[in-house]
Amino acid sequence: MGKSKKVILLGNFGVGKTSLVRQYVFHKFSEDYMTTIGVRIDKKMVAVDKGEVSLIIWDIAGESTHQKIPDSYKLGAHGIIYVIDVLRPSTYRAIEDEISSLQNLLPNAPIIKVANKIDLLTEKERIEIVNNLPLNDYVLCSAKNGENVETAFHKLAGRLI
Amino acid sequence: MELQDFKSKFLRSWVQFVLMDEEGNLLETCNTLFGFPDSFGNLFEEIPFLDSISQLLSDLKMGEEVSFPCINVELLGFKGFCDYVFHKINYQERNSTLWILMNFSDHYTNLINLQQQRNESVIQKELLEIEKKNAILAGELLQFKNEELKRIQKLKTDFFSQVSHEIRTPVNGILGIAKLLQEHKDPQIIREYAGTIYETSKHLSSIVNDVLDLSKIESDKISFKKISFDIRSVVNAAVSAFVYLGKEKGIEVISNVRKNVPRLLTGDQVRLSQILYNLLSNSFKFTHQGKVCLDVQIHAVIGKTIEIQFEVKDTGIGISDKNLKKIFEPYEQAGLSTGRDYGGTGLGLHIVEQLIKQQGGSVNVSSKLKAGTTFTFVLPFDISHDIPVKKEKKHVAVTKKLKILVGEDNLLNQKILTEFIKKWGFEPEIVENGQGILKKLNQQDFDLIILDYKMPEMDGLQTLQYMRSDYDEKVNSIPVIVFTGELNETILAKFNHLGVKSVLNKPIEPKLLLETIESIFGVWGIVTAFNLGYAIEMTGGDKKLINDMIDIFIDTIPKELQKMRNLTAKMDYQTLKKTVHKVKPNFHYMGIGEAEGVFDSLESDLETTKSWRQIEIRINTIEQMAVSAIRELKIEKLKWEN
Repeated sequence: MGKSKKVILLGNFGVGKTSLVRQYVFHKFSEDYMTTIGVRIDKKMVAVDKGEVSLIIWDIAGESTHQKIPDSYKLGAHGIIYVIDVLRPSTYRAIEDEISSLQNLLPNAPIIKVANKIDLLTEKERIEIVNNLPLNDYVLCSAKNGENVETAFHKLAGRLI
Repeated sequence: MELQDFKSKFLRSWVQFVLMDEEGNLLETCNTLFGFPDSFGNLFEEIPFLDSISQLLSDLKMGEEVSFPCINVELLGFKGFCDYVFHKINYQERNSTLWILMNFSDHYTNLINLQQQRNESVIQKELLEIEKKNAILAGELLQFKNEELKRIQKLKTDFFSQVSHEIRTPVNGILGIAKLLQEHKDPQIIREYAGTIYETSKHLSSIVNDVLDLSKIESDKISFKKISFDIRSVVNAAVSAFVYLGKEKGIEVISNVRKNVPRLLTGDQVRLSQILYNLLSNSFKFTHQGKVCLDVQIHAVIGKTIEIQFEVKDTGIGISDKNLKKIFEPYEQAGLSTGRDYGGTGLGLHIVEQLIKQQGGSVNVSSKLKAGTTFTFVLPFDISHDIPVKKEKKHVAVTKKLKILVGEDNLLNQKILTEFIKKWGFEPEIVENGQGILKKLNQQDFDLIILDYKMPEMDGLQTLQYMRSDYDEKVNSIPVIVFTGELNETILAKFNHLGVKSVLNKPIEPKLLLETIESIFGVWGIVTAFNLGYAIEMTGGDKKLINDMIDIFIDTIPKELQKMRNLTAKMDYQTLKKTVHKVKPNFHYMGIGEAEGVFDSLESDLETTKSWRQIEIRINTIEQMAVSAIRELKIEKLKWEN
């Protein structure tokens, strides 16, 4: 059995955290928006270069800042996926502060920034929006069509071993 | 029943207590929400939630607790929302963890509905705000376009009055001098007046040409030809036109076409000349001391297209930031006084910009007042595989004494070709026409045939057609170079069809001919070859080690470049940066200096502009260089092994 790693999904509500997990774990997607409250936990085994890792994914209800989330949810997290919605600037306006505060809280936890809903953009819009995002190194994802969803989780898993 | 009993009974219905040891083994449970079957294993292994906090629980000190509100639970038949509390307790003298599950499913289910409504309303409001902002921006853009149209209209009116003035002045001048001519009989004065009329007419003609070009551009009637031409000749001709003026004004004129720029390109030579002439003329107009430089280099190679970058730099009066923004606008000159002080219609730079853009290129300008101005433009041209491209490496040894059969009827050309072919150490055999060529081919073996297109009795084309149909494979494997005074696409296509290695323009340029021969008998390629100097120095000349280094380069670089492409597609900055950093030294070891420059630019792109298009172009360029280098390295290895 691979080593278990607690991964928390953070980001504003409606950015598609639950959809990303559903796509990643169950290969399913629903157009309907169902808000998450509290936290829902799922598990997936991932094979990476250095072996196998068991990701225990905490899909946490979205908030405008992680500081509104119970501290116990974040305790002992090994990795973080921070999700934004490329169409809603409010979901990434404060990302620099959020990331920096998370780095202080969990200094050893790698953070993957995921820009979701890219299926709603044209190629030109993608480039424009991505070039104007604060910070860089986003994984551009679509929970709807699955584009880069595996990549995002795999990238994090690789950094957890 | 006592109150305490009621309380216990009530709590018992929605709270479950589970007791486990420090390793996660179940000790006791009250089974209020669900029961654990006998087969149920270790709690940490069976329940992912507990697995993910096992370390946290083991770190809890005696008497401490940790709580997790609102957990979505689906466990052993129970489905709902619970708050979890974990206590570290001493139970029967053992350190144990008490897991308390409080079932708040009803409460949280009601909360979901409220939360859902709140979130949907906020998201809706945000999207409406964005739409509203976009609508305002679209309105502002429309208003700006309207104002622009009005401004352009006004500029057109002003322009016509200025052009009228510009045209009227030389016309009046010509009329006046023509009248004076009628009155004079002194041949010396007549010659002077005729000269003045000529110069004034030339000036008038350039104004009329500008206006006509603009009219063509604005009505989209301009078309661009695709003909092979010698870029160095075009650059030299453009610069030569200003040498005299430069001497007169005391301005140095410098031009530099980088060595790796192919000599022959396919594109519109006339329009390129026009662009260069306009930019150089502009620089000369506004430069009173110092120099005007024209630099030409490869910008990128994308498939069969090569992008060439031209830079015209002067040490002139410069342009203010305010005027720089309008520099390419039609009917506009940098400041009102410019038209008065320097003359002109203000159309030249607009025509330049349009000619470049309509050919799929781009143009930029940077300037500093009193320091000078730099115009940089990039134009795409086609590369034909049948056209030899000059190599950076100056010398490709053609050690064999080549026997070259030349078909040329012009005596002077015969003389030139004979002398140079001998000088290069080869053996020429000259004949006057195609029949002579065929006769010689029946008698002797040759390594190369050089043919003039137009020859009496049997021209170059007929000769080749005859050779291809009536001669054996041995003769037809001899490479052929054709000279023609009228190089165009049709002729090029005809000769290419007949398998000619290269078609060169007349008059004969010996240097270009030698390069063509070298490229046929040496190595083909666009890019800088390798230089193993560094590898030899680094390994102390260890041939085996160098061979291994070459093998590693040949094996790994195509894979790494593919990886760079994939990372570019994923827009993964960080990994791409690391890969670029890893791959770059390999090019240094193989002495592919020019690729290192492109890597530097690529690294800078990744740090600053983050333009994926630009990054893609850079990777393409590196790939082209790698392909050429690998081809040459393989040949080099063969030489070493032999």
